[in-house]
Amino acid sequence: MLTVALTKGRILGTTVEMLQAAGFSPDEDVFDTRKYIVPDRSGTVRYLLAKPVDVPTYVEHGAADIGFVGKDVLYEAQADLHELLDLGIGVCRMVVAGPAGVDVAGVRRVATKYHRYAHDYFRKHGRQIEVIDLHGSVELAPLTGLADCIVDIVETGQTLRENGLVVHAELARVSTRVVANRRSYQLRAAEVDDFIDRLRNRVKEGVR
Amino acid sequence: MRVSQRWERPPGSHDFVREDMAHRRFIEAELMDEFGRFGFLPVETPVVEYAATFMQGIHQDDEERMYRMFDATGRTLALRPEMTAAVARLAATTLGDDPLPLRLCYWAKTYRAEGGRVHDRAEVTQAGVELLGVRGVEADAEVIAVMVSSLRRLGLRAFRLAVGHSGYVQSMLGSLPDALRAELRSALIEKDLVAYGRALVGGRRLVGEADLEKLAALPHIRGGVEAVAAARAAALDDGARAACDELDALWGALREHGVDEFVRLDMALYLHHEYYTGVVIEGYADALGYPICFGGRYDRLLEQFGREAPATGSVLHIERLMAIVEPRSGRPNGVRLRYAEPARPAAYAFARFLRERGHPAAVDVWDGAPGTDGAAADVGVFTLDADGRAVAEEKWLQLYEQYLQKEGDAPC
Repeated sequence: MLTVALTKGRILGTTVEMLQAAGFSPDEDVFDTRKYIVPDRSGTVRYLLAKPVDVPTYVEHGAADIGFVGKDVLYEAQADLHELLDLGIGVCRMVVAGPAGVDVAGVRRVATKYHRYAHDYFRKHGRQIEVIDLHGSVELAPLTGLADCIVDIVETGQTLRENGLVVHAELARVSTRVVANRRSYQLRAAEVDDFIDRLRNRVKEGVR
Repeated sequence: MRVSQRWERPPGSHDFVREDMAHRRFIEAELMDEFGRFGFLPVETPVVEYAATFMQGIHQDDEERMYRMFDATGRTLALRPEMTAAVARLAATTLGDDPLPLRLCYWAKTYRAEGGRVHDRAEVTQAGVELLGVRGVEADAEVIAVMVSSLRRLGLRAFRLAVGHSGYVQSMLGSLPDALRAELRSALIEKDLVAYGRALVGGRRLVGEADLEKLAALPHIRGGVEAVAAARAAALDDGARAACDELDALWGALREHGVDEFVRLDMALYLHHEYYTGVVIEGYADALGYPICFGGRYDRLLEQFGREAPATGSVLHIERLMAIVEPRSGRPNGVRLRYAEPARPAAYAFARFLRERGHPAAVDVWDGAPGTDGAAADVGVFTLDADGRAVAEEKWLQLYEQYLQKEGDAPC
């Protein structure tokens, strides 16, 4: 039986729909926020419900065979695992944003929780930056002078606009990925391949 | 257990005591003996060598993670990050005049500055074999057979070795434009099939439709010997086809070794050491989430040290094995022998008697306090009181009887 780590929160509903379209039937308990392990009615899979940032950890250590997780989290975690499929859901943009007049080439302090994205982007443009580590309302940082700009994930850009910030550069498009543990990928190859193939067919057909 | 912050170990390093140590010793003895049964001779190389030795073909990440220092003349030294380069250096220099093939094995601690993840240890014990001087896949098959046989001897059953061919991957990517090749290569190393697929889509205009399909198939080719046929169907050039011939031949040899059921092909397996030139190996056990075994063919490493010779080898990651190998129980037959002051001559003599028969005996003076005095749970306690009375488990009392008889027999 495969253990599949799902992400609690915003994206869970879409993920479950996708699993159903692929022929799985997660128990309704999956939406019960107090339950952490939920069976699939097929008996071939069980689900583990974790915080997004923890999914790569569960999968890397083999506590879960497969995980559903955003590319943003995955990229920051640098976990050693197989990235097998882009589900094309939960699509967002990772951007550099700041007040309208800011010259991105002259930025020194960047507020973000996405350290790797920030360092990578500015390094590529020849700048070594100082990262101010923030975990929420990052938009505050440039408004209060704490940082010159921010690196953050945006879906519609509404929050940025409301705070008078504009997007200066797009670093990456992120979406939900399916990852597999290294041991499981080799020793449970048939089960993992079957699981991935069923999902892949849904992605191809554009079922959302 | 109290640990004051001042005396913590550096992160990623470990102490081994009691049953862990016994477990380690057991694994070491079994593995080195198994390697020996295949004719591999144990070698030891320095823990610290000139950094240049380790930089032959090492991946850049690992180079940055080497512990370095300077000797008195300012040359850069490093703690060995792995053993293959050191053994290649040894085979080309110290053993440079020995005829090939050479079969060498080792049990050695290696060091890498830890990357911060839980299972990234700074200090890793590697036990491995290197078979130098044989170009054919018989050598690769032998190395795989040694690994399978060693893992089985340690009691593991649910494990697999994934086998790939870095020559195949290099051939497949060889004719592509540099930027695309670099992208695909790094996606394979990162095991990121999404990035791999995306790079191919991006390179659509540079690669013909037919080739594109074959390249897209590459990372999905895995399975038993039948997967070699799939790899051949996807081959883009003679280099890739030659790699498939090798894999077919390898499977034949693995069957004859009786180990093919433990091996699976994975064409996307592409270990990141630059020195691999042919068959590559990575091993997994069902009970552990990360690999326990790494290896492969490195035909051009020895020439860096001045001796042209093909070579192949593989190592086991001991600390990971310790987590999954069942400890062999059987209580150590040692005893803590404590005596009240007047009984010291008898205590020392009995301890000698025990040691000569292979029973470990630790001897301490005893003040008559009750309890077992902090002896470890798996050690027997033998008490000789002031009146010469012995108190212990039956097994030790029997040995004491034998000792007394022998004493009585001895001419005074």
